[in-house]
Amino acid sequence: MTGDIAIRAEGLVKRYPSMHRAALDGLSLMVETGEMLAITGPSGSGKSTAMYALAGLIGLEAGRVEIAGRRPEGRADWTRLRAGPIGLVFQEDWLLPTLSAAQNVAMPMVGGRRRARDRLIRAEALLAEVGLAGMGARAPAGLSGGERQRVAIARALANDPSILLADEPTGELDRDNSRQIVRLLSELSARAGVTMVIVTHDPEVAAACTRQVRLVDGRIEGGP
Amino acid sequence: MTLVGMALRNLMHRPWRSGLSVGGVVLAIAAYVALVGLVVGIEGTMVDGFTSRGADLVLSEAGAEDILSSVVPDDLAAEIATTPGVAAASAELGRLTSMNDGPTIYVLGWAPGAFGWASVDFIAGRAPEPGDAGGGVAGGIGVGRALADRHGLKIGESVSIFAAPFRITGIFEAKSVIVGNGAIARLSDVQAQTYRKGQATALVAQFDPGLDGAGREAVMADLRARFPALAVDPTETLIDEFMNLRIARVLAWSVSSVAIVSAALAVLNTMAMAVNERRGEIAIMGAVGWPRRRIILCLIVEGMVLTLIGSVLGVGVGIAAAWGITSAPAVAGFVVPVVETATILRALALGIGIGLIGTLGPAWRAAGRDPAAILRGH
Ligand SMILES: Nc1ncnc2c1ncn2[C@@H]1O[C@H](COP(=O)(O)OP(=O)(O)OP(=O)(O)O)[C@@H](O)[C@H]1O
Ligand SMILES: [Mg+2]
Repeated sequence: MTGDIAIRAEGLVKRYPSMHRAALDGLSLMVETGEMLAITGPSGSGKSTAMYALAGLIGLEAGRVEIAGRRPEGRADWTRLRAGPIGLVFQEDWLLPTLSAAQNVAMPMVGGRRRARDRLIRAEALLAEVGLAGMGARAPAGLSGGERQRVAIARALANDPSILLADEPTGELDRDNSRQIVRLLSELSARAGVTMVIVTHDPEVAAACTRQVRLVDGRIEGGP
Repeated sequence: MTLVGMALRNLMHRPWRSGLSVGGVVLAIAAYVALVGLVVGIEGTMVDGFTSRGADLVLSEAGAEDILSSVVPDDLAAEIATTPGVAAASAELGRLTSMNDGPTIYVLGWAPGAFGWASVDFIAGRAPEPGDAGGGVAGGIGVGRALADRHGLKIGESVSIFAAPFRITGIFEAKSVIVGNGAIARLSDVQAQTYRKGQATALVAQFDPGLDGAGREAVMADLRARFPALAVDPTETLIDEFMNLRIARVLAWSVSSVAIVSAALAVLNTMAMAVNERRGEIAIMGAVGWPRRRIILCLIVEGMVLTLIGSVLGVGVGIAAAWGITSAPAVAGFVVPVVETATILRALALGIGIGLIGTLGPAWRAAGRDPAAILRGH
């Protein structure tokens, strides 16, 4: 599979009304299938904005994104992609406090083909995969920060994505937990061939990736 | 985990807030059910009071505020009876008065030979007779069984009615609630005690048997032409004539409308707060690929669960309240609430309406928010 393009972004421009310069200023980026790419850069350089653009969570003034072999147009296309080949992880876990860990993981499967019982069985399996075997019944409030982020990763994997986009996934964790999360993501990348784009401040996290790019003022440093 | 399951969990997560919103819905629906039930009940009892004794037509003073404040000459009964198409007519004098200075009861004065007598069944004693009056007694009186049971009345006992002693001559069973909870004396005795010599409150008439709808209309038109000072109403629509009932109806509607609007606002407030607190949760639903309509549906289900629980409880509370109100000593025996299936269905429909009004707006707005701005945190 190596050599296939998982993500191709060309000339992305994003302006926020309140900013005098563009948050994304003609950003172009290519990610090969199976790659684990780190996006680093100073605060405010547009890393999060870039990731949301790749996930279709924000509208763009210019540019186009090709992802998972498709060129999504419009909200419905993007929604379908996020319900399938694109999984997302954020700095905060955003677990639903009223649902158990397993139900949180099952949440993206609602509306899919699986029946309610099978969703929970798969959720438990995914929790085991992120090192939380047997903890499906726990409420998010009863989990540590590291455990909660693992649940969030399991949730991102719910619909078997081929691409995982993560914005500062270790941003709220201590060193130990951060290392464990990075190890988990590396394993997933190696074992399941999931393409990863990880936005991070942390050089250690970046070093664990197969490639790094640095974003400055809304463009890749040294890029086109 | 299903949408309904998620909705229930979210509601249980904040039991006080959910409980208070359900309470608001319960109050609104209960107010509607109870008030409509009472109005329909009052109307029904009134209509029943006439129809159960075979009256097809009621002639009363045109423009009178209610049947008890109408005044008509009793001798018109004979004239009405001679109208073609009318089989029988009789005068009656109805009064609300207190018995033994105690509870208010409904007393009817019926002329001898009035067709109403045939509709009551004396299960003990007999109907009042002319000879009952005299020797310090104002007259004989028959009491309804429900009234007798409630106050332990016995035949031969003297009761004070219109501040005059009446002797109980019999206890009767009647088909109508209001008559069965009341008393019947001779028209002349009631007239004598109420300073209404020659007066009645209504003239009731029966059509010739076998008269069809058009025939009945013709008889009524004839009567209206002959007695322009009288309101001529079929018993079923009699109640439309009376101002008090119209006021009761308007009151019932306005009170329940206010309750329903405030319940809708309560649900709106709950859902707006819930949706605001859960921006992150709603944004993550979008981020994991939930289509917008499913997010909206999820929130609507939550609001609907709230209002449906409230509506079902409200119907129960409303029925209980209506019966509770009518068993109060002041009104016992006058009204039996009538909660029709249509009323219950309308109440549930109102509940669903409350839910939709309270939920759609916040859900729509929440699902339309920019998820990126929320999820990036900071
Ligand atoms: N919703 C918004 N409205 C206005 N400006 C925004 C919005 N989101 C981001 N920005 C601005 O866009 C620029 C890029 O923001 P972005 O969050 O992508 O940076 P970042 O590289 O992720 O920063 P950090 O490392 O602090 O997370 C910043 O100047 C930020 O203030
Ligand atoms: Mg950021």
